[in-house]
Parts: sequence; C-alpha cells; structure tokens
Amino acid sequence: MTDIANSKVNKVEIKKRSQLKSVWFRYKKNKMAVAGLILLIILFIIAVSAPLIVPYEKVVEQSMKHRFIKPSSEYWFGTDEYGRDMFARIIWGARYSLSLGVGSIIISLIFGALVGAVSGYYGGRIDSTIMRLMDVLLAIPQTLMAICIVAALGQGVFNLLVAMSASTVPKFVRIVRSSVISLKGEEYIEAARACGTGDFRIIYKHVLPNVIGPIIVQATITMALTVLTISSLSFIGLGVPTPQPEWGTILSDNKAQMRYYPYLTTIPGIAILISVIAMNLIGDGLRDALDPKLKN
Amino acid sequence: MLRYIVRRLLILIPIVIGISFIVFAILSFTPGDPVMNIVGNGADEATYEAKREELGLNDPFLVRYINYMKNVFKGDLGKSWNYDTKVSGELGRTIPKTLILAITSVGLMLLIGMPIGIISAVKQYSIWDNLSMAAMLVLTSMPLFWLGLMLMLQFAVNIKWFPAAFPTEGLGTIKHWILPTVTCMASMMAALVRTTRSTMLEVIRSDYIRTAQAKGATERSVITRHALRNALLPVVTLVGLNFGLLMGGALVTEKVFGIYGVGYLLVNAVTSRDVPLVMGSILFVATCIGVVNLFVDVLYVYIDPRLRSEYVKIKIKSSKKLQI
Repeated sequence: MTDIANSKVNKVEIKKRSQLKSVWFRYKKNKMAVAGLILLIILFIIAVSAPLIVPYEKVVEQSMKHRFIKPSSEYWFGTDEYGRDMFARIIWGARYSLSLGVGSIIISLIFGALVGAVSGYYGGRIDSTIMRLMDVLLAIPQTLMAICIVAALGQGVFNLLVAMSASTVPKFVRIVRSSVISLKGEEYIEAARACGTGDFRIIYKHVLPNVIGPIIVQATITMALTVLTISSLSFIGLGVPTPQPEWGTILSDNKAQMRYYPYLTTIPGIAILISVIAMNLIGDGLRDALDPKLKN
Repeated sequence: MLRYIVRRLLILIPIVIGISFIVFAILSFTPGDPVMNIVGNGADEATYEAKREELGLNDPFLVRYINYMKNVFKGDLGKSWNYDTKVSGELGRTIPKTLILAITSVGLMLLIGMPIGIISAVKQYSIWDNLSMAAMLVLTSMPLFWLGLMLMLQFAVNIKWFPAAFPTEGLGTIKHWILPTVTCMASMMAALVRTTRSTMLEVIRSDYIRTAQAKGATERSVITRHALRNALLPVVTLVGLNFGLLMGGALVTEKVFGIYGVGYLLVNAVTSRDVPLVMGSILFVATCIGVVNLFVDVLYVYIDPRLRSEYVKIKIKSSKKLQI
C-alpha cells in the first residue's frame, strides 16, 4: 500500500520536473536568451559583491585634485567633477538600479496576483468594483502616476520603490484576472471545490500555479521597463537623490559636463542599456519557451 | 454607430472624474504645505492665514474637491497657485508644442516603422530581418533621455546641424523639432516594428493569402491589398495608445530638449504642489487618452468590416431583449 502511494508521489514529481525541464530545454535553444540570462546573472553578481570589488568610501569620496580624469588604467571609467571614481559609482549603481527594478516588480507581482486572483475568482460585484478602480488607475500613464506619488511622498529610495510598485500593480491585476477567469471553469478547480477545499487554498494551490507562465513573462518585460522608468525619474530629479549612485542619477549629475567629458554620460547610459537588453532578451526567450505557439 | 460613440463618450466622464479624484486625493492627503511654498518662509501668520483662506484650504477635502469640479464643469480651470495665471492659459501655451511633437513623431514612426516591419516579416530570418530586430531591441532598451542627450551631443554640439536649445517663446523652426521628434519616436518605433512584423507573419501564413497567391496576384498586391489590411488592427491599437500617452507630453523628451510642453508643465506643477495646474493638466491628459481610445475603436470598424457585423449582432441582441 505504501509502495503504491510512494510511486504515485514519485510520478507526480517526475512530471513536474519534466515540465520545467521542457521549458528550460526550449529556452536553451534560443542563444540570445541564454546570453541575456548570463549577462543578467553577471550583473547581479556584480551588484551583490560590490563591497568586495570597491569599498563604498570610493563612491562618495571627493578629491578636487583628481577631477575629470579620462578613463585610464588607474580610473577605469574616469572621474567626475568632484573627483569621484566613476568605476566605483557604476558598480555600486548596479545595486540601486537592479534592486529597485527587481524589488518593485516583486512587490507589485505579489499585490497584483492577490488582487487579480480574488477579482477573477469571485467575479460579480467584487470583480467589477476592483476592475473599475484599475481602469481608472490604468488610464493614468505609468510615469505620470509614479511622478505624482514621488512628488507627494518626497524623494528617496523607499518612496521610489512604493511609487514604481503602485504604478505597475494595475497591469498585473489585469493579467492575473484574465488568466484566472479563463481557468475558473476547468474541471480540476471544480473538483477541488467539490472536495471542500477553501477558496484561498484553491487560489493559492491550484489557480496561481497554472497562470504563472504569462505572469512571469510580463514580469521580466515590465522589469526592463521599470529600470528605464526609474532612471528617467532620477534624470528628471524625482528618483534616487544625488549622492547615491543610481545610474540615472549619475547621468543626470553629469549632463552639464557632457560637452567636454562625454564619457561621463556615455558609460552610465551603456550600463543601463546592457541591463535592460539582458532583461528584454530573457523576457522574449521565456515567452517563446513557455508558449511555443506564439513563436514565429 | 453614432449611439455607440455617444455612449462611449458618456462612459468617459466617470473615468475622468475618477482620475481627477485620485490625483486630488494624492495631492491633498500627503504631507507638505503648499501655502508655505507660495508665501515663502518669512511670511507672518496673518498673510499665511489669509492666503490659506483665499485658496480655500481651510475647507474639508470633499468640499474643496466638489467646489473645484463645479468650476470645471462651468469651464473654469482656476488659477495657478504659483504663477497666478489662468490654468487654461498655461495649457493653451503648452498644448500646441505637445501636439506638434506627438503628431510629427507618430507620423514619422509610421512612415519608417511600418515598412521596416513589413519587410522584416516578408523576408523572415534574412540579414535585413535580423539586423532590424537587433536594432529595435537596442532602441527599446535605451533610456530615452540618454538617446536624446547623445543625439544632442552628436548633432547639435559636435557637428552643429541642429540648434541645441529650444526657443522659450514661439514654436521654433523645423530644425528645432528634428532631434526631439527622433528621440520621441525611437522607443515607440521598436514596439511598432515588432508588432507589425509578428502580425504580418501570422497573416502571411493564413489560407486566404495562399489563395490570393494561387490566383496569380503579384507579391506586391498580395502584401499591400490582402495582408496589410488584416495586419493593421494591432498596429492601430498601438499607435492610438502611443498617441494618447504622448498627449500627456513626452515628459522626458520635453525635459531634455527644454520644450515647454504639457509634460514639462505637469512635472513642474507636481513638484511645486500647484494643485490647480496639476489638476488641469491631468484632466486634459485623461480626456485626450479617452478620446483617442474611442477614435481607435471606431477606426477598427472601418478597417475590419467583420467587426461591423458584430455591432449589428449586438444591436439585434439588445433589441430582442427589449421585446422580451
């Protein structure tokens, strides 16, 4: 008896793994997507191990003697108008830019998935109330919404995180809701309900795992957009406040020197470009891998 | 059709009111004192209180909101707190610039993006296709303001083809508009090319295209007459969406090139807590987005006659319901 039970468990496990494996198998075939993944992993390693590469003092240390040194063997990315080492700033900037991007997506994903699942699963009045609210929120352009929130809360890393998450939530709510609605009628959901499973457990155990594909794809693509938006906000002067080394902030700080010292604006721009390209490549690769039908 | 348009316009009203309410609430319930900004730190108690009373800030939130909306429905957007000028006047000064930027960049985007997308689809996996896809990937991944700065550095500062600064008064000349238009167009174009390509690819593989080819129609006429028209729907959606967003001002482009458009106005107003100015701009942006969306929906029916029959179906259904 226990043998049979065990073999059943094994079978389920094997099936689960094989599905993940097949997605990975399809993902692997796309060379660009793999390149994007490797690039992003490297960037994350850099972000995590920034203190090991250069100490934080180098980021803020000013030295009037070493102003505007062009990229050289001593200062790989040169120095800015206060003599701060650009290499250190860019490395530490990865921490700010990437963690803000990832953090805001995780927060909005959690909220979006919860609200969207509840809205789609229960339907009726709850659904229409939530969706009308989301319609209104979606009608405000994302950047504008973020600007309003940041201006209201004040500048700062945490407030920026709140603003970015809040302005992306409606998007996730919509996606999760529509996927949940399409699943609601499936037999296994009905079976779970017939077994007397609670609503929350059904949503958490049966509905969400089945809609995770499109959500993850959307999350990676939105993450790319979020990193861009954060850098734009920093550029406008509403993002990460200035001594902190966010890539957009570095760019904004140095735009006055653009004319004579172009490397000061080129390097942070390229850093943003590379990380966003990596995220976009992963997003495209995941979409093709999760839904082979979509691939042309 | 007319009834549909009127109904949609009516739905637009509660949405715009909802947006205005949310923004008004955000601006009202957050810390910070707008009056302090206006009268300055050194002002005495009496002037401060007088200003507060004048702006109606002593009233409760809902009363303020309702008073504001009453005036809006009378056609009065109020006065800017910081500049003491009429909000409608400020909008009147900024809207033409934003409109020019939106129209030129969307136009240019269509002119360049559509052909690239179509050719990429027709010659799938050719060098051209791979190149354009790579270029579009780079364009979507680029921060807009950075592209603007780089273009400015190259074309305005280094080789001086175009002026770097935008005139503070008037609309400038064509030369002033070229760099902003290109910057503004860049990121939208990537989305357009990708959408055009993927929908064209889908359409090209369908049976009716094969039939058209079998009939002996030339490649050109198959693409332009049969395929393009069917691939146009998602493209129209995308263009509409972008145009609507641009009416909110291409915030970043306007900031980089110093164009005093709606986006610039809005960012300044938000950061200085100028409530009437923010509300006026937001109302304008929200209405524009709504109207453009409606226009896109109406356009669908003209592009795709199949949708027309669906309207008729809805009509029949609703009239049947009435009879029962």
